[in-house]
Amino acid sequence: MSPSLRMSHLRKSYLTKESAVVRAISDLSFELNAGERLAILGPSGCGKTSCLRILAGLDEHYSGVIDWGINLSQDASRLRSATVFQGDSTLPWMNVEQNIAIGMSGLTLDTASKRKRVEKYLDLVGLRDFARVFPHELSGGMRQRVAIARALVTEPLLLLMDEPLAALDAQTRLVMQTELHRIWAQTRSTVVYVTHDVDEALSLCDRLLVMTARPGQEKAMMGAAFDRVMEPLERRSLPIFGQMQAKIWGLVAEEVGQKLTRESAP
Amino acid sequence: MSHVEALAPRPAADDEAYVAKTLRMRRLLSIRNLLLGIGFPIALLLAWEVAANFNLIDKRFFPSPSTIGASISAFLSTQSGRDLLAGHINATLLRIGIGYGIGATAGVLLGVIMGLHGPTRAAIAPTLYAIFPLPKIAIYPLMIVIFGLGDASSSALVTLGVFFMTCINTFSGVRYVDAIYHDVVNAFRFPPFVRWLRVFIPAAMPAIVTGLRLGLGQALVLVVSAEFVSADTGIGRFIWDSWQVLNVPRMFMGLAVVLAFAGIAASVGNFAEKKLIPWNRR
Repeated sequence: MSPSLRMSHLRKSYLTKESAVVRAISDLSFELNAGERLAILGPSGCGKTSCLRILAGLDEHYSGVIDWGINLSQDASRLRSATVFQGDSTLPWMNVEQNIAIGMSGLTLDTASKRKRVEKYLDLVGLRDFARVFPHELSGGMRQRVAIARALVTEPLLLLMDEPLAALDAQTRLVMQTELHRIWAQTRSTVVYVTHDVDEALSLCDRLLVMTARPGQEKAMMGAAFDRVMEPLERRSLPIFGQMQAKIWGLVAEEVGQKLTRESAP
Repeated sequence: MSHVEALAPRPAADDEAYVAKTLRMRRLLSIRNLLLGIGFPIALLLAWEVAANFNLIDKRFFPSPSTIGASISAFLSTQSGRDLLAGHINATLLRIGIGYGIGATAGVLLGVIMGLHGPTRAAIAPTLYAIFPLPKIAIYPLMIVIFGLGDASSSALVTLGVFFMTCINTFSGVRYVDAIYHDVVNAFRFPPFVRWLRVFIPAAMPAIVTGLRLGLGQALVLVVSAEFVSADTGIGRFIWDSWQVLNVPRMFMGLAVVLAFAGIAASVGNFAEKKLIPWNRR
């Protein structure tokens, strides 16, 4: 399978308000196959969100090469990447249908195709009966489904998830994991999934990239050891889930520990 | 003390009785509060009536409510009285209408432009915020110099007050749009037209509506103040003239009209809020 995304030697610094230079990512490279789901894990401040924002086109200042595989300049019917954000990012003045359709406002598509896509993804996320409802009448989980549909409707080369379930309560999060898996199984999108929840990464992804503390780079890259179509709940029932969980928590904990020692040092 | 005692069985009826009792209490409480809310102003009027009738207060300035009511209804029962009042009300409404229309339009427009365009913001914001705290009535003499006595200068004063209120509120609404919306429009590559008309302006709408509401209150204050000083007509003039000739009942009638204006302004504000920002309901 040809890689759909190749990122080489990504480096990212930023300036704080006090004009201090902070190196967020020192050197990060990875490849992603079409239809693959990559989780990026690491202690907070390790640059995983910086990496996602760069892929999302929200930050143009970095060095390194991002090879998207396809040149999209000829195809204005898809976005290079679409993002599902951590917090509620639905637009409260639009109903569900409008919230989904507005995702395509930067694309060149005739009205009929737009209409068709909205219908398709309304069905896919299970919001058919809520098309005319406004976000404030929906639960947090349902609002996040709207955000997912808004991203999918752009049929992006890369679907970016920035801790999409972190703002939800524990029960809703479990239900939504199953939902995300079902949706992926139908769309087979290529996904970068940023999270600090090891369980979620193992439940939903094919490969896991663990990053070091700042300045972030690769600490470990591993396959999730499950059949990729296996459901989150089934994955959790297998003994290997617990073993991998312990191993990855160990890696993350090392980095968190280092970060703590460094911060407490004078 | 033993636990057996604490856990003594209670009949199911206890729970039902509790629910019924609480419901009854709540109903009684809301009736009581309603009665208190209506009763208090009635008590005030009664106290005023009694105080006036027993000469505890100066009846020349505070005639009893019944005397005021009687002379208001006598005034309004004549065609000339009704015409006189209607003329003053129309003059005031015209000044508010013109001043509010121009001031609010200009304020919202400039507020949006300042939110949109960095250089405009950098140039105008310091001056705008420096002048804003000035009580607008203090520059009324300047308005008279520029626009002359009468309708134009009082409308101009209203325009100015409304402009500042709406401009500053609109500006801060547009400027401080939630960061997540900026991420959404950038990540999805929304075209500029969609960014502004479908995301940033709706996001700023609660602040814009607040500006429009405050502007309406400001318009009322300024128009009455301006009429006190310079106009021949208007409800402010009516109040001031009544006071000058010590026609106290008519002065109170003028105050009642201003209160009615304020009430209508508040209802218009509530209506606008429901129509313009239906998602912002609490």
